[in-house]
Amino acid sequence: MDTETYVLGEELDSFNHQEVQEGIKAILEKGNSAVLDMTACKYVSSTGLRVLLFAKKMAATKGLKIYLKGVNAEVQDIMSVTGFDGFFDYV
Amino acid sequence: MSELHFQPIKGKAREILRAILQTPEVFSCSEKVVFAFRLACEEIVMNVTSYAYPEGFDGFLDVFIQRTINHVIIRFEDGGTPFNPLEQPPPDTTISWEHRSIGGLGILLVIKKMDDVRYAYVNNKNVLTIQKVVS
Repeated sequence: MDTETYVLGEELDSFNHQEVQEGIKAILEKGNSAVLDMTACKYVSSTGLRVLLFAKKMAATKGLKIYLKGVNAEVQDIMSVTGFDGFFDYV
Repeated sequence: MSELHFQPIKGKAREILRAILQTPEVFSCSEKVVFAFRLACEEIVMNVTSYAYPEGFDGFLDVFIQRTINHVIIRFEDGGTPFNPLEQPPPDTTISWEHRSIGGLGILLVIKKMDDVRYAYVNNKNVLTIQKVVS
């Protein structure tokens, strides 16, 4: 099983979620696990969280993993508040 | 105080959100406070522009932004279907990802990131007011 990295931009929100979701989906459909490099990502809204949950669920159905990398403090706080912080492996 | 009137609103969420965040009352806040308002306003604006009005009918959204010594208060008014987001059951944040649904996350973030959130239905308008201590 290979791992491929998807690099997110500065935000993951209502206005770019489809593009990000498609990008992650393309990696998983190749049979690869995905590292989501969030080093540049300073903002994740509830719609962004939905993309992460979608990715997690899709990966699980294929026996793959989603790893998060470079999550900043503000985004980590959003994930903690919503109970998402325990859903992912961090690299 | 800034007063913003938007009509039509379908498909305009990005512009509406940008206009709110660029008002002097919000723009002058710390990065952390702007982050919180961005989260809350994105959720509220997306809800109104997507769901407040019936299909095929494009209504208005008025936004009033006020700064006091210690607070920023933002009031959203729309003429859509009466809907109190605070009455929706909050998501259970303790359950595992397998059983998590995607509903309710947005209003949860609004409540968590603001210091006060109030809803009223007044003069045929949904009035949602959010408030945050900024100093």
